[in-house]
Amino acid sequence: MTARVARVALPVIGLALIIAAWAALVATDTLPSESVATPRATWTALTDLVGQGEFWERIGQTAWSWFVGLLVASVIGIPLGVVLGSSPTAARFTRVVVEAVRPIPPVVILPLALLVLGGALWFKVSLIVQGALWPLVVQTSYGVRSIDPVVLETAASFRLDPVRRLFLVRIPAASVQIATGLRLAAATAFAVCLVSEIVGGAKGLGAGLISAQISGDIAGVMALTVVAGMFGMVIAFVFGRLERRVLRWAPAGKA
Amino acid sequence: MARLRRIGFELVLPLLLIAVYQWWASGADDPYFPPVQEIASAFREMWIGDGITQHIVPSLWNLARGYVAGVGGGVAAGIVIGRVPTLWRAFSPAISFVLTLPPVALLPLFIVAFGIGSALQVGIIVFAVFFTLLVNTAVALRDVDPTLHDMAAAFRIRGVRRLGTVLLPAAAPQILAASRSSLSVALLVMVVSELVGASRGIGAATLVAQQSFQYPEMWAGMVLLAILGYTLNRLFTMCERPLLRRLGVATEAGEGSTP
Repeated sequence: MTARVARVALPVIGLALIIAAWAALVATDTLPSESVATPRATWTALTDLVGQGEFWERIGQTAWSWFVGLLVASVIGIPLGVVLGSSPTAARFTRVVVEAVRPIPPVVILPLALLVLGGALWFKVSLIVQGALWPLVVQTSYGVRSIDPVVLETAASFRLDPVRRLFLVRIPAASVQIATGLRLAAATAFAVCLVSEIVGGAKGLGAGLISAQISGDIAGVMALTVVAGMFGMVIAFVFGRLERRVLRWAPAGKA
Repeated sequence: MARLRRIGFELVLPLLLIAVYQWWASGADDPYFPPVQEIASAFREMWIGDGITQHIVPSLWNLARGYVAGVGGGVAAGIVIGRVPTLWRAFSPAISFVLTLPPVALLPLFIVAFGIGSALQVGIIVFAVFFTLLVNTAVALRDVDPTLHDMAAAFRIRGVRRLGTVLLPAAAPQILAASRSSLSVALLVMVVSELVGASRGIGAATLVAQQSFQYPEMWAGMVLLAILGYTLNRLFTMCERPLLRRLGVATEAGEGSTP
């Protein structure tokens, strides 16, 4: 009983402590009040935002480009990962390029993408794909490669043709890693989305943040930052659930 | 010989890609996509000589300061929170909220708080690294095999000694993996913060080149960042393996991730 109370109460106490500390630091001017808004002002700004049509439009723009970017990255990344995972020759042939391109931050191509594509949807999507592709490729190829050889031999002795072997054996066996790749890619895609909006001037939540910052609306900046955090939390929650669900369903011993 | 052939095989695709780009760029005559020799000469002009002290050193200095402070602080805070279950339970929801917030989203807030300058760059890098390390350290310490605790107790290893000789080495693979993935995040945040709020630095110089229509210079900036990202990652991996071996932890170097 007490354990259960503690489990619910402690996070509430923790959060209350953080907000109280925040309010106290601003009130005593330890954090300069001209650059940090009080919790109350942030809350007011947040409730104001919820009533504005423009705010929801921005959420929609960010969500849509996030979705399209993640979709394009999955359509390219998962098949590529399957190919690289099932053929050692293909993996070796592309190794240098993959290893060289993967650690490059997506912002590297930002100046070029800004130039060629402008602030349109495809500008954002190309950046998102560059960031979100690699977790998908790496995780998928890892999952496909680490499949138990006995499973493949069983499939061969049942004379499954290559197409069936791919869809009935290899991809299901790699599903856990694919789900992990999707979770990482979804978080990266959201981060890159915000980068393109903040730096590249694309429309969306990031643009709202920048315009609030330029007009000196500190409470607005903080409220939008909180919204971005909640957006990220929803993504993390949904993809975390997906991953756990796949994990439960997946063949034993493949964690 | 077989080894040479293997390396040769792996180099086919990168060389082919460069060759195709070169052939296409010199034929297309598109100002956005200059041929390789123009990019190379812009690279020499921009980054070798004055460019090093003007842009590369300030960028890397901010990166180094922010990264070291973030990793050190994150590990220290992670040890405290990981070893005190009450703290972990009280603050983990708030921490996981901060962790899902892309560091870049905090840029406007940091610009308001720090103004434009290197304090902004260092501050946001610290922030980006700190929470990833905090959570990974805390989780790794919590997940240490209970047998190790029992064994340490049997040898009467307690307190700080147990932490230093038993628990931290056991948690090292995850902490190092988190450090590696946050190194690339730190580089990303460094570039983005320079694109928005700086007059010096690699990102700033690249953006200026783009805005003043000097496309070979812009490409030179992109190439430098790519080289930097690749080199930092390689350097880290090179240090990571011997360190883990020294600590007596043999692992396949995995992908760092944020739980």
